[in-house]
Order: sequence, then C-alpha cells, then structure tokens
Amino acid sequence: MNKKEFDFFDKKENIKKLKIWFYILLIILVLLDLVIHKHPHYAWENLFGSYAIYGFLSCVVIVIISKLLGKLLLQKPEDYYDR
Amino acid sequence: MIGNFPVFFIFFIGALILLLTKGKLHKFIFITIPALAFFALINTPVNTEIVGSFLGIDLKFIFIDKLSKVWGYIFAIMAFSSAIFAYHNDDYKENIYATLYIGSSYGVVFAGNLLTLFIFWELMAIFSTMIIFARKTDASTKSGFRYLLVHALGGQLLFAGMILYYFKTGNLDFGYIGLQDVATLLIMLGFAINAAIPPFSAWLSDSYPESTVTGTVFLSAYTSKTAVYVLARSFPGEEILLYAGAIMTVYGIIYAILENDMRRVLSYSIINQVGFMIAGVGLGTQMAINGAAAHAFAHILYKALLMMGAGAVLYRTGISKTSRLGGLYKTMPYTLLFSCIGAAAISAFPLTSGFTSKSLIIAASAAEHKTFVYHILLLASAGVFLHAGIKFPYFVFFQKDSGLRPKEAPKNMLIAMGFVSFLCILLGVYPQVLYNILPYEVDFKPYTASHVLLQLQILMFSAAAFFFMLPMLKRTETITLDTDWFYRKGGALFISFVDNVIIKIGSKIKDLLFTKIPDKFSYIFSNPDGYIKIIYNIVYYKVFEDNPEKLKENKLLLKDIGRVKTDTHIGISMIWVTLFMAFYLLIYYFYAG
Repeated sequence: MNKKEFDFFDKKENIKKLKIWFYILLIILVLLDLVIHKHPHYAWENLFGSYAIYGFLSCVVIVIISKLLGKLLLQKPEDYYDR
Repeated sequence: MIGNFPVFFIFFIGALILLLTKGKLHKFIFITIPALAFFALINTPVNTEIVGSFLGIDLKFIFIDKLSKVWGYIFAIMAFSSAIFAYHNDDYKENIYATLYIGSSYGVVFAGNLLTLFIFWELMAIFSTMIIFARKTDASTKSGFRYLLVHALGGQLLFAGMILYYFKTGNLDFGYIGLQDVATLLIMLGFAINAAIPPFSAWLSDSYPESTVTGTVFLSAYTSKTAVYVLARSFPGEEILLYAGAIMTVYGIIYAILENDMRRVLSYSIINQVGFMIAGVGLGTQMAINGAAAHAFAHILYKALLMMGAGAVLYRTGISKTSRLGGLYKTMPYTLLFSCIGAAAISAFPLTSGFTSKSLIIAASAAEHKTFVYHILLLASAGVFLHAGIKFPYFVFFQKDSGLRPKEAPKNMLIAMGFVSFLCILLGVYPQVLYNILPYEVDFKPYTASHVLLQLQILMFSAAAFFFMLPMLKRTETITLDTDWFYRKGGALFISFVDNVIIKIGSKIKDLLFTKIPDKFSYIFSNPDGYIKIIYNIVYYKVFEDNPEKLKENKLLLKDIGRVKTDTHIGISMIWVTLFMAFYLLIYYFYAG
C-alpha cells in the first residue's frame, strides 16, 4: 500500500465534528419555523417545530413496531426454510 | 412508431439480432435498442391507434396516449442505462431475455385491448423468470419457480376476469374498467399481484435479491410499474387502492428495517414506493394520476440507481448481507457518491427527483381531505429516509470496518450510475421536464419555502431518530418471514401430507384390489371342489354333528387347500359351467317373461 488510506470516517474527532454540525443543522431547521410562513392542511401543522416532531416520532413508532413484530413473529434463522 | 410498427417490435427484432451476435457488437446493439426505441417514441403522435380484427372480434391492438407515453419514455431510459451497467456481463442469454422482457412490458403499456395485454402480461412473467434463473444458483432456481407460480396465478385471475368481462360487456377494449362485479374484481386481483400489493407482495422480495447483479436492476423497473400503469388506466379512483397503497408504504418500511440482505432491503423499499403510486391511483384526481405517473418515472430511476450501487458492491465483494459489509467508503467512493444520490432521491430530498414527484401525490391526498392517508404518507416519507435513505448507505459503506477492501466498481457501472444520478438531480432541479410529459396539465410548485422546510424537518429529524435508535437497528443474521411463508411452508406441508397420507392410503387400496383379492380367488380356484368340500365339512361339523375336533382339522385344511382330496373330480371348467348355467337361469327367471 503506497497511498495512504482514506479513513476520515474512522477517526473519533471527525465523527464528533460531524455530530456538532448535524445538531446545529437540526436547531436551525426548527428555528426557521419562526421565519417561514407555513401553508398547513391541518391544525397541528401550525405548532412550532411540528414537522420535526412528526418526523422524529414517526421513525420511533415505526422502529418500535417493526422490532416488536420482528422479534416476536417474523425474524427467523437464515436456514429456516431449509430445515 | 416507425411506419406502422409499434415501438416494442424494436425490442423483439433486436432480441433476434442479439441472438446472432457476440462480443462487442452484441453489447453495442444491446445498448442501441432502447435508444432507438426512445427516439421512435418521441416521434409517435399522441392517441395513436392500430385497429384490426382477430377471430372475428374487432380489436384495438395498440393504443398510445399521454399516460402510456410516460411509461414508454422511462422504460427506454431505464433499459438504456441498465444495458450500460450490464456491459461487463458476458451472459448473452440474460441480455436477450432482458430485451424480450422489456419488449413485453412495452406490449402491456401500449396494449389497446385486454387480450393483447394478457398475452404480453404472460410473456413478461416468463422472460422475467428466465432472468431470475440466470443467477444459476440453487436459491435462484427455487425462488424463480415460486415467482413463476405466483405470476401464473395472477395471469389466470386476469384471464378469468377478462373472459367474464367480455361476456358481460361484449368488448375487450382496455380503458376505464372500475370495480363493479366478480369479473372486474378478478382483473383487479390479477393486476394487484404484479403491483406487489400485500398479501401478494412476497414474490418481489423473494426473487429480486436472488437474481444476478445486473438482472435485479432490470427486474426492479418493469413488472410492478406496468402494474401501476394498468391500474391507473383501468381503476383510477377506487377507494380500496387508496388504502392498499397507504398500507404498502408502511408494510415496505417495516420489513426493510428488519431485513439484513441489502438488495432485499431495497426490494422492500420498492413495495414502499409503489405504495405511494397506488395511493395516487386510488385518489384518482388529475393531480394524483399525474403524481403516480411522475413518481413511477422518478422511482424507476433512483431505484435502479440504488440497485446498481448494491449490485456493484455485490459484484466486487460477493457479499450482500449488511451484517458482513461496512467501511467500503474507503475504496468505493464513487459507488458511495452515486448511492447517496439515489438514497437522497428516494427520500425525496429537495433538488432530487423524489421531491418533485412524491409531493404531487401527498398534496393531492391533502386536497381531497383524505386525513388518514395524508398522515400515513407523511409518516412513510419519514420512514423511507430511515430504511433506504440512511440504512442502506450507512450499513454498507460506513458502520464498522469490515476489513473488506474491494476495488471501485467497473467503469461501465460507474458511467451508468453517473448517468442515472444526473437524471435524478435534473428532474429535481428542472421538474418541468417531467411535468411537461404528464397526462394532465400540472399546476403545482414544489419549491415553496414552507414545503421545502416541511420536507427538510421531517428528513433531518428522521436521521436524528436513526442515530438515536442505532443500537436497536443493529444487524442480525436473520431472514424475515413474509406471506411467502404460506406457500413455502404450506407447500412443504402439502407434499409431506401427500407422501405420508394420500400415498399410503392409495397403496393400501392398490394392494387390496390388485394383490389380496386376486390372491384369494386364485387360491380358491386352485382346488375349487376341495374348497367346497371343506366349507361343507365346516358347516356340517359345526351345526349338525357338533364335533370340535373334526371342525378344527377342517379349519386347518382351509389354509392348505391343495392337500384336500375329493372323490368328485369335476374340475375347474365344470364349476364355471355350473356357475354360468345358474346365471342364465336367473336371467331367464327374471327377464324372460
């Protein structure tokens, strides 16, 4: 190996920087709610940061439901059909 | 249209030429065919009809309007880029079957009547099965057969529905049908199987991940999207499709989260994305049909892009389980870049094609005040980013260092992925290109500040949720049961039932009829007069003389009839003669009068 390997994402300090930028982005997006005039179809959409909350909770609900279904019912070892 | 030949003839003639050529020429022609078809289609006027008569029935063979042209364009673009992606592939048979498969899907999209549609529908099933078989592994052969059986069932439902429909209405024209009775229900079910509407969706996630690196790219575009087209033409505005679509979007996400195989994750996200289109069809307004068409167009591109990215990784590493991949960003940066563009497009990031197409459907659902569906579609939009937008790139290219250091994807793959990436962004930046070819006038502006903010908040907070729940999303080496369980386990159960119960009962009956009864008769007739004598003796000693010793002796002789000596040597023929005489006597007695 004569060229140095590209390993930007393996370094802890880089991940930390990315995380900080990510949090800043999230905060900016929520704060933009104050500036931008929304065109809501339903009342809840007028709440501050409504879409952020909806997006976050949607994912939490989906993951919890799919994990429950998976563990209790659907996930089987890979050789399930060959037995 | 070239002269009087519809576009799809180019594919069938092209397949014949492919059969006769080899090497670079073969591959060049493989890429040229869809390009020719594309330009032929541009020159095809809208509302083209070819009418003729078949078996005494007047039929509209071909019908091309604005709606079918949307599918026509994207099918050609897709075939062109996939052919470039498959340039390294030396399996000529797969190329030929892919060309025939694409030609057949054109046949479905341009069919003017149900009979033509049905014929091409079945051809699609056959040629796509051949593409699945091209992997030549045990798993692909088995899943290919399952795929064929499911589609054969779908074809039969469609055929039965078509026959009933013809006898009821007296025409076979393929246009608006609408759900009214058994006939139309059967037709809809036939379509629903190809559209992968649960519980008929397991064929998709079962077979696509088992196909070759290149085969999956072809497969991902045509079958489910032709189904969206036929539903959009024949069943727009059916409420049941609206809810089926909404369910599909969530169904796909739940399975995609549980799956480990990267191409199976992407297959489930096809179900999720087709759900948006089916919901659009179910809404049935002009805006929603526009949305379904636009989303089919955009989806074919970014799904192909994702399948190409996954295909390139599989091609270089031979691994498709995300639990064994990771850290590939180091050596496959371009594949990563293109996969991320595909992931952004499927997640509907602003400036990508998904944003400009999906918004049409969601806006249409809000305009129709379908509160439930609107919220489900918003939830699914968040979920798409979770399962396809982040999960796929993260677990394949980042996650942990798997120790794999594969080479970057071959040049032809990078060119194909670059071309499709360009289109994904083009449609995001200049949506007018797509909006102009949609069936109805588009009066919609995707880029308003409030809409962009909505989308970005939903997406970025989905990302936040992903990293927040990362420990819960750890990959496990498992498979996920889908509705194919019923026919895979059910089939095995049926086979073992046949083996252990039916076959056993059958062999017992066979034994009785062909072995035991004839044995008994031949035993009796080996010494018939002796047998009669023994029976007489048994009755005599039992009833009249009450002699247990003699009775026992005679009973033993019954087992060994050959030893019995009789004084009356009447012989077998004499017995038969007597029997027949008695028989004649009876007949005379009863019928002669």
